[in-house]
This record gives sequence, C-alpha cells and structure tokens, in this order.
Amino acid sequence: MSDFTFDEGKRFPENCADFLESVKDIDPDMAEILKANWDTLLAVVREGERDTKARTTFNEAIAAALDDLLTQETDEEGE
Amino acid sequence: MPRYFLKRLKIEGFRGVNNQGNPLDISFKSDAVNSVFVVNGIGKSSIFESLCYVIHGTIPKLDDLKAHERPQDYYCNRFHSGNKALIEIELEPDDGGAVVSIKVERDGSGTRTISSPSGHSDPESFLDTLNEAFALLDYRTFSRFIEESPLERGRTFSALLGLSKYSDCRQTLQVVSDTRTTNTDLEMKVLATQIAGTQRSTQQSLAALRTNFEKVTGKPLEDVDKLDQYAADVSQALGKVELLNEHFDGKDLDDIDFDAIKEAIKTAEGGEKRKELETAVADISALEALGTHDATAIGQEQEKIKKLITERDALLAATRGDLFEKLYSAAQDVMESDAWSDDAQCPLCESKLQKSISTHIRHQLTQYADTAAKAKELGELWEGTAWRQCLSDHELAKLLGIEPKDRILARLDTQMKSGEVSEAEAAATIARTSALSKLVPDLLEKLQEKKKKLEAELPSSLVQLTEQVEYGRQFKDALAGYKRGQSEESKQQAKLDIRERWKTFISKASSRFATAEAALSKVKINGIDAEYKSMYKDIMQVGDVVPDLQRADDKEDLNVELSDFHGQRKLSARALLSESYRNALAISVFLAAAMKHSGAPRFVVLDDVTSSFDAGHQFYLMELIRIKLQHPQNADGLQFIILSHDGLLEKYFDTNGGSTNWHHNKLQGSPPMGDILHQAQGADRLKARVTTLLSAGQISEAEPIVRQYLEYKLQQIIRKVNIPVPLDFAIKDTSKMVKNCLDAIKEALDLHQRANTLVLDAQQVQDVLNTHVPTIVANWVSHYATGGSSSFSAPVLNGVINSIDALSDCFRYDDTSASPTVRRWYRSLSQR
Repeated sequence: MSDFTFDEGKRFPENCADFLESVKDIDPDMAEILKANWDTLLAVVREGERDTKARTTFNEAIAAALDDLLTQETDEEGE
Repeated sequence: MPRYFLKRLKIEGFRGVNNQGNPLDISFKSDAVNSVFVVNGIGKSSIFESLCYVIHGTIPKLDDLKAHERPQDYYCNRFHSGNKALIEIELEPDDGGAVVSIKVERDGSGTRTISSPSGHSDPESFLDTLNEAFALLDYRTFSRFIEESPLERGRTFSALLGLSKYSDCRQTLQVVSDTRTTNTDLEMKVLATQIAGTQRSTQQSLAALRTNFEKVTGKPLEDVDKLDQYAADVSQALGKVELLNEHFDGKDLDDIDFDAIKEAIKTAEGGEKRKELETAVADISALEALGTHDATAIGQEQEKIKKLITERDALLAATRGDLFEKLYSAAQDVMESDAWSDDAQCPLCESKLQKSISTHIRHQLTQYADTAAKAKELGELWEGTAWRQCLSDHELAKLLGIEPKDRILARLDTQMKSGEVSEAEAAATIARTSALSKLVPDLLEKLQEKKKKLEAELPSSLVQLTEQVEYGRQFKDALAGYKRGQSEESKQQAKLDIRERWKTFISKASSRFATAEAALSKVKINGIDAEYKSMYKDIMQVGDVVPDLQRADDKEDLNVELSDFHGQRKLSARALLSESYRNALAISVFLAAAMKHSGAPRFVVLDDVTSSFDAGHQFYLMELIRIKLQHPQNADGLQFIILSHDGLLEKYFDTNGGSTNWHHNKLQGSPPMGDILHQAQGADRLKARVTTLLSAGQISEAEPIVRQYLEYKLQQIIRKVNIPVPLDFAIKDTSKMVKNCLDAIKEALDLHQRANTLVLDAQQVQDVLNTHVPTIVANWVSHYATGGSSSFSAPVLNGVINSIDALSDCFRYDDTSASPTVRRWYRSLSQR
C-alpha cells in the first residue's frame, strides 16, 4: 500500500502529475493510459456536476487504449 | 504570482443602479478596511450582485427564480433607456504591478461581453482566477454552511480551502471506477456473452473431432492437447490405402485436398451409388451434429428466459407507458434545472404536494429503468444461449428443408434483443425448437437405412474407403473450426482480462486519490484550526464553547461538533448553537480559510454578514477584522470591503472612518429610477446635473438629485462642525432627512447661543436662521416631505440650491493666518 500524499505547497496540476507517477506501482501500463486520458477524465465532474457524456467519452477512450495495448502486446509476443 | 486588491468599482444600468450616463463610482483602499453604508433600498445588494456577476457570471438570487419568472430580464436596470448594464472593476496587484481594469457588459438579450480597458490580454481567464469561494461572502453563504448536509458542507469547505478541483477529481475517479457503469461502458457483459458462444462452438467442434477420429482410426481421442498428433494419425491411417497413398504421402492434414481424393475414387471406380453413399455419410454426420445440442442445458435456458419475461412483465405493469416515461423524464429535467426549486410543488399544475416530487419522479423513473434493465438482460441472455444456436442450426440445416420464409430466428432475434418478446412468442419458440429437434431422429434413421443398403450394394472396400475419406474430411473441418474457436476465445478473453485489469487499477487509483485528498483536507483543516477557534472566541467572547470541524476518513463529509460546551464534550453544533453563534462559527471558518488561501483575490467582500449579531458582537467582529485581519495591519492580511445597511454599525464606521486604517463610504440616492451616488462622488457633479436638467425643463428628473444634494450638503455641515444628532437620527424616516438635518443644526445653534459659546459671527447666525433655513423649509421641505412636489418649478429649485450653498458657507470662515487666505470650516460651533 502506497503512502502517497499531496504536497500542500504544490498546485493541483503538479499534484496530479505526482499522483499519476505514483500509480505506476499499481500497474505501469494502466497508469500510462490514465495519464494519456487525464484531461478527458477531469471533464467527468466539474464544479460538483457530473457529466454522463464525458464519462462515456472517457471510457470509450480507455477501451480503445486497452485494445491498442493488447495489440501491441500480441505483436511483441509474435516477434 | 501577484494577488489582487479591489481598487475601484463602477456600475451603470445594473439591477437597482440606473445612473444613466453617470456611473456609480466607488474607490476602495488596499491598506484600510473599507465600509460601505447604504440604507435599505438604495442599492447595497446591487453592489454585491454586480461583483457576483463580474466574477461568477451569475447572480444567486436570480438563479433561484423559476424559468417562467424570466430571471434573464432582471440583470439590466429596468429604467435605463439603453437596456444595457456596465460594470467595471479595477484591481491592484500586491507586487506593485500595473492596475488591471476589466469591463463586463450585458445587453438586453443577455449577451455578456468582457473587455479590459487596461489592455489585459485575456480578461476572461483573469476573471476566472478571481473565482474563489471566499472572495464574495454574504449572510446566505454562512447560514447555509451550517445547515447543509455533511457531504455538501465538505464540498463547500473543499472549495473554500482551494481544494474544489481535488474534490471534483475524487468524485470523477469514483464515477469511473464504479463497477456497474464500467461494465456497461466497457461492454464487459457483451464480451462475456461472446466468449460463452465461442466456447460452445468450440465444444461442438471437439465433439466432431472425437467422433471422426474414432471412425477413421478406430481409437478414442483422449487428449485435446495432442490434436496435431491426432491429425497426423488421421493422415497416416488414410495414407495406408493404396489408392489414396499419393494424396497423403508426406503431407500434413491441412494440406490434403479431400475433393481431389473424392475425384480420384470416382475416377477409379465410378458410379452413382458410391456418390450417394458419400452424400449419405455426410448427411448422417450433419444430423448427428444437430443431435449434439445439450437438451438439458437448453431446457434450463428456456426456463430462465420465461422467468425473465415474467419478471419484466411484472415490472412493466408498475409503469404507465411510454408517454408517461417522457413526462417523468421531462419533469426530472425541470427539477434538476434551475427552473424549478420548490420540491413540494408540482411544476405542471403548481399545486402543493404532501411529499417530495423529486422522490416521486425518481421512483417512477427507477421502475422504467428496472424494466429496461430486465429487457436488456433478456436480450443479452438470448444472444449467448445454446437454445438460440440450436434453433439456428436446425432452421439452416439443408436436410430439414426449412424454407427461408418459414424461419423464425431473424424476427425472434429482434424481439429478444429489444426485450419485447412476449410469453406467447417464447412458448411458440420452445415448441418450434422441439418440433424441429424431433424431425432429426426419423431422418437419421432413414439415412442410416439408406447407407446400409448402399453399403450392401457396393463393394465393401469401396464403401469403407468412401466413408473413411468423408470422416477424414470432417475431422479436418472440425479441427480448423476448433482451432479458430480457440483463437477467437483467446482474443475475446484477453480483451475481457485487460478490462478487468483496468477496473482493478482504477479502483485502487481512486482509493489512493481519495485517501490523499482526505489527508490534504485534514492538513488544511488543521492549518486553520487554531485560527478559526481564536476568531470564534474573539467574536463571541466565550471560552467554554469551542467548535471543532471533523473531516471523515473515507468520505468527503465535514462534521461540525463542539469539542467543549460548558464542560461537556463532543456535542452537535447544529443542535446546540443559536443562529448568531452558528453564523459566528461560519464566519470564523470562512475568514480563517480566506486568510490561508493563496488565490488571486486578496480581497473579501462581506455583504450584511452581521444581520444576526447584536451591537456587541458586531463590534467584536469589526475589531477582529480591523486589528488582526486587514492588510497591512497584518502583513499577510487581506483587504476587507464591508457592505451594510445597519444603522448601529454605521456609527462604528463613522467613528473609524477618519482614521488611516478605515475608509468609510456612504451611498445615497433614489434608485431604481434616479442615481445612486457616493458622498465623495462630488456635490459639484450633483449640482451640475441639477442645473442641466432644470435648464432642459426636466423638473421631475431633477427633484431626486436636488434632494441628494440637500442631504449631502446638510450632512456635510453636521459632520464638519461636529453638530450632535439624536440617537435615532440614522433610522428616522429617510424622506424627512433634510428636515431632520435642519432641526439638528437649528437646535445646536440655539444651544450654543444660549451658552454664549457660538463661534459663528452675528451675520452668519442671522443668515442661517432668518434667511437660508426658512427659504429651504418653505421652498422644499414643506412640499417634498408632504408629497406636494408638483408645485416645484425650475426657478424655485435653483433658489433652493443657492440657499443650501449659502447656508453651507455660513459655517466657514476666512483663515487669514495662511497666505493666501483660505476659506475653512469651523472646527465646531464653538471653535475655529
């Protein structure tokens, strides 16, 4: 279990960058996908309001990224 | 990054401020507490709302209006002929940089335009940086903070601490790690169904492999991991036949051309019967394949589908049809919008309700959603059933001879997928499947008899050869099907697995973010803990009632407790604190958070926040701000701008107004039609305006400004020469303010005359009492205060203005000690 904490002296984007770095220990490939789609993710809840369309857009992007990763892994195994 | 003080505010044509062509103009000091006193109905709220509109783009009070009340029509002043609002703010950076001015305009159609007269390159983004929760605070903000739910309070508090983005992000991660939505969005159920279908197809291929392997080699197929070995065995077995030797010699099963072999047999022995035998063998295999469908499993599936249809019908019965679903959806949209805020009133007929309409709508829509979910479950189940596969195989089997027009599968698929299939249709399909299955044994029996007959008629070597070749071909096809299925299943399983991997990851990531966010929030709370407790004590002057904010570990909830209540511990603040104590707590928390904040605004505007306080607590709050919180008294302090209509508080403002660390402003006017003007905005401007209007014959427009001018000049005399006024002076009938001032001046002169201490010379006293005051009373007070203003004329009003100027001058003298001589105000009625 990571003891990740936000740094009070840092701004939100910097703390987010640290968070994305920290989650690499959970699964580096998935962390990379999350990082690549972080901006899309942040649109899901803004000022406390949930946006269903933004959620489906984010998950569509994740599904595509997962399939790409799978293809990439299959190709690497094939080589 | 610099932070910004609010330096100036100009308003025209917005809400209660008309000021056409003559904007209300208020300047604020960055090194003093700024107070703005305005009596009721003169535009204090409009000032606060103008700042809300500039920074937030909206006004909370108008947001609360219903759509049919047309809130958009109430931004612009309704008497401004241009139907256009203009608000301009100037902000002074605390690093000594250039002042930034931002102009926000709104036209009658609601279009908001932002520009920067000072030339800021991105004024809109600049305004965004000012959008911090602590910058604009009113009584409503504080009262809601204590009353709202712990979760709402926690989120408000996050915004206050500058953590709203963390709160949003935490919620976002919770949303995208929710199992139900992720399963739907990533189509995980669809993938699982596909895998089940592929597995069934692979098992059928495996069954065919076993059967045909045994028929070709006479041995059982025992180990599925040795299929390539078994394929070689089949090739080897068939290759031993002399006639076929050349077709099998040294070749893999995949490379063997069974059509060429059949042609070779045909060429070698010829004859229709051999061909018939070959067809019979293939047909028997096909019919046997139809028989491999698992009747027990299919029966269970049929029962499950029937049960789902019954459940769906029960749910459907509780709903009220498509039309009502549209009605409920529209009603939900209305309730979730800002158009309707009363949850106990029907938005359709506007009648009062006994229970929450939102709860009712949610309940109704949940029933529709449950029905839809059941229908979807039905469709998904059908898609992957062995029953569907069985029906498909039977309807498409050439031997059963089902004409395309008689096939029911395509129509049934549509009904099942939409979840609309009826109980009767399901029953008919069960009967149809059963009837088709029953055709197979008879046909199989007939074909086997035919095969036997052909075998008897043909040479045994040829019979066996034909059969062996056909079984070999079927083994080859089944092997290809099996391998294709395995490959397909492997791909589908990999897609499912990687989605599961994502779910595990995002769930852990979400949990990690939430833990870190809670910890940061706690750090921030701890950071203001001592401050808000100290401020609370300063305002309420109590030491044995100590509030305590507690952030939940696993949720965003923020609970407000009393860690000490006259010696008792850990009690509910909401239950025990009176309104003034609650507000003091909220004010303490907000101000403590504001003091710690490092956002762009370095100002706090407080609108009527002392409404629930008595004079004592008002005093303690003001002293707290003046002594401990205001910049530069506190080097890290903020600029405070306090708006109030409270007469008692104004006494405090007046007392401090002359000092270097307090800047007091007083507004007067006659909104919403006339102008609101700042005292310091200049009597000269008022006078010039009156003169212009009277010259143009616009007497009714000039009247309110004459009144403003009179009030301004009379109060100026009172203030400059320290004339005492009665305790209730500020709260007397404001329409009689001119008379109140004249009475106060006359009484003070009389008092000093009797005491023989009057400093004014005899002519000045004579002019005041016998000329100017009677003129003003006769020509203004006796008409205006009694509503008889229709008798005013331009020359009379010009005379009133001249009289007030002359009256004012009677309280000044020529100071000859200065060179050149200066006309000064008497210090008091008894002192130069």
